[in-house]
Amino acid sequence: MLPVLSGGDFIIISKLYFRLKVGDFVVVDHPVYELIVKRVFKISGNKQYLLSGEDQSSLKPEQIGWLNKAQIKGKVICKIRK
Amino acid sequence: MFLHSLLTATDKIIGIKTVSAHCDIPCKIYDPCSAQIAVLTMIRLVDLIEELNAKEEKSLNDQAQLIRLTNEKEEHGAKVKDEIRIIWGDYIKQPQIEKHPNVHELVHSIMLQTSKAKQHVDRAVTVKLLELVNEFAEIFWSTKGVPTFKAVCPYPPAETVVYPKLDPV
Repeated sequence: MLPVLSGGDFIIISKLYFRLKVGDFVVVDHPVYELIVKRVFKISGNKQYLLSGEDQSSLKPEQIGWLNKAQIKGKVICKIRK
Repeated sequence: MFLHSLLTATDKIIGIKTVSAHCDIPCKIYDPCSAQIAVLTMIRLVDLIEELNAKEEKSLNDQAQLIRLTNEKEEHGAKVKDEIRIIWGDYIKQPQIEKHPNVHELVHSIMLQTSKAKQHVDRAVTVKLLELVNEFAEIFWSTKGVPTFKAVCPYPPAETVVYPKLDPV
């Protein structure tokens, strides 16, 4: 997630949030990649979320796939950089 | 900065959950055996180069073979570095570093020793590289909770290798 986040940074997430919008950072429990932090890239009409990374080497949104709200563990509300 | 230090200290006590950003596919397949085999190959190539060197007269084929063996030694040296770097960079993280604080120094020694083994045709130098890679393999398997044993590999160059003692299925 460089340059926004790098290894060793801390993030604080909130399970309580009004709604997610494109650009928000979220932590999701992915069936393949397990707990990951990504940015909301697209939101479908039926509240499915497509996520993306920050740079070229990151997983592509289509590799991550559409995720539902239950898989989103929280919205990042604070980043504490190293 | 202060907040980060505070959280780092808290993390050491209570263990804050780790989240990944996954820029690579997390296949989780790591095994130092590729590095060990690459070093064994380097030792074998040194032996073959020495055999050629012992010949009084070298034919064109011998000279071509010498080039081939030297190139292979170079390639396998690069492979040793790659394999060790991948495990060190992708797999070894804070909990493993805390348990094996010498791991950074060991990896650096492997890099330097590999360069030395690439630069020279020297069996002793290459065997020393195998010892370092074996030491790294012992650390790796220890982080997996897998005991190890040492045995002489059943093929040339017949050198001592650290193997994982895995349970049969």
